[in-house]
Amino acid sequence: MTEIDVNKLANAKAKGKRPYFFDDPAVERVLSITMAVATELAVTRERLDTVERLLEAGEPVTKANIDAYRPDDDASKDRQQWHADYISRILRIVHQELEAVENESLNEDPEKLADDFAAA
Amino acid sequence: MTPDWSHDDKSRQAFQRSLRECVIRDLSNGSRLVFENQVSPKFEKENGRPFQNRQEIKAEMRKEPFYQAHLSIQRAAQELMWASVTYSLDRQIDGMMAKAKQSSDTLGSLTINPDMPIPKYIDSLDIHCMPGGYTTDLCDGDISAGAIYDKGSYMYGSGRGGPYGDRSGQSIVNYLKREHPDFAPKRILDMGCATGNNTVPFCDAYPDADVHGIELGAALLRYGHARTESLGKAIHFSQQNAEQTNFEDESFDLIVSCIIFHETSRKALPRIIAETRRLLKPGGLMVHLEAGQFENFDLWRQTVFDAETYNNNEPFWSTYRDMDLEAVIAEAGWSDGTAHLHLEPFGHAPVTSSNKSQKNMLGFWFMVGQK
Repeated sequence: MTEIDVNKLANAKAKGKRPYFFDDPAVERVLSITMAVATELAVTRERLDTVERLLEAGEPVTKANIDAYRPDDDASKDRQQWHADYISRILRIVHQELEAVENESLNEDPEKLADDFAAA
Repeated sequence: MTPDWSHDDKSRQAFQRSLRECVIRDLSNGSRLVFENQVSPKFEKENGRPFQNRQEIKAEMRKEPFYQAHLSIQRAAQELMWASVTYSLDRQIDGMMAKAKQSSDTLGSLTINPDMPIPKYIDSLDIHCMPGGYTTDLCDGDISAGAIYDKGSYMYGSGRGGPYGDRSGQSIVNYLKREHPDFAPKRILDMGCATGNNTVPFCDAYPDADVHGIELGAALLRYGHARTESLGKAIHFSQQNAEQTNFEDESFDLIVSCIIFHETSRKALPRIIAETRRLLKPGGLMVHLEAGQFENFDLWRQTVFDAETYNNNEPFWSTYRDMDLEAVIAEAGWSDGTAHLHLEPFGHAPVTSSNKSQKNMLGFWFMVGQK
């Protein structure tokens, strides 16, 4: 049996102090966990996609067939597009912040407008 | 030697590639927009002048929530990328090590020197956040760092290194074939060769030459040797420090390196260039390939690159890119006019006098010299 604990190595902290970018380290921790969970969900989704493609092709859905499955060019493109859409959905708040930077008219303050309309 | 990835390994790696693309494209573009539309005008208004250096930009941008999220996701993606490669070795590391041990020396060779001191610039932290770093040697015959590095660096470059991860070496070959079509080196050395991916193109380009690769990491070398033998190529790998090798004076016709300068130190770098000179035969060529100096980029690009120094464990990256390389060349004993810097842009024709001064051109910079 191997002397190398691969899972321990994969999850090991890289040597060197880790930078934290938010004022509160807990935010960093939650975001990092979220990205890891997002990865695992994408893995599960892709496995499901393989199952669907095997069923459509009339192949037996066995573990061996799932592991042996190789997507053709069209399936690979579909999966890449799914990744792009999925990442957009997960990072929607980040993209929204960017929209607000690009378009100042999206930034009217509702508190101020409430006052404005109360008087108008 | 390539690991056999399972269905889920491949899915995990594919997602990490997509996430990297998103970080590189969308989040980086977003941060540039925050800088240009908000941070830069605000700074000018408050200070009556534009930003003068990347340190000022860094200080202001690090307060921006969008940039904080960008850097945080980028760091998480970097860590998850290495993990996605490493998990998948679980079922096969034993088999790979056994295969590497059986790898014969029919073509090249492997010389490990367990007593070689590892310089601090390589093992003080794990460069690029690769867990275990380049020099971890976990057991007898360990190849894990090599297996992780080979696949991880392919993903790190978003596949731009090509399926064999040899684009840097190939670009030096292309340059040599174009600029020195009659050059026929008999003995070639690649300094800091890692797993030898960028060394292999020299075997193909100069089939009659003896090709050597030196590297500090034993596990990188063991994996590289086994990989190279399995490709049917001959490379003589040895565990050595490029600052001071055990090769004789004037024993090589061509000495190259691929993107190693920024992983050294202020004192080590001129030593490596001086060692190159010592090892070259009269008339021999040096071609060290690296990223460009900061002066070739605008302040925003500098800020983006500089972030790697702090956030991706590359402590010498920014110092290197600020250095006056012409002065380093002279310091290392290359007299006037015998060595120079040359830009080989990505996807463009060679640099001409008309585009030489253009900022932000992406490409490989070569430090070229003829002894």
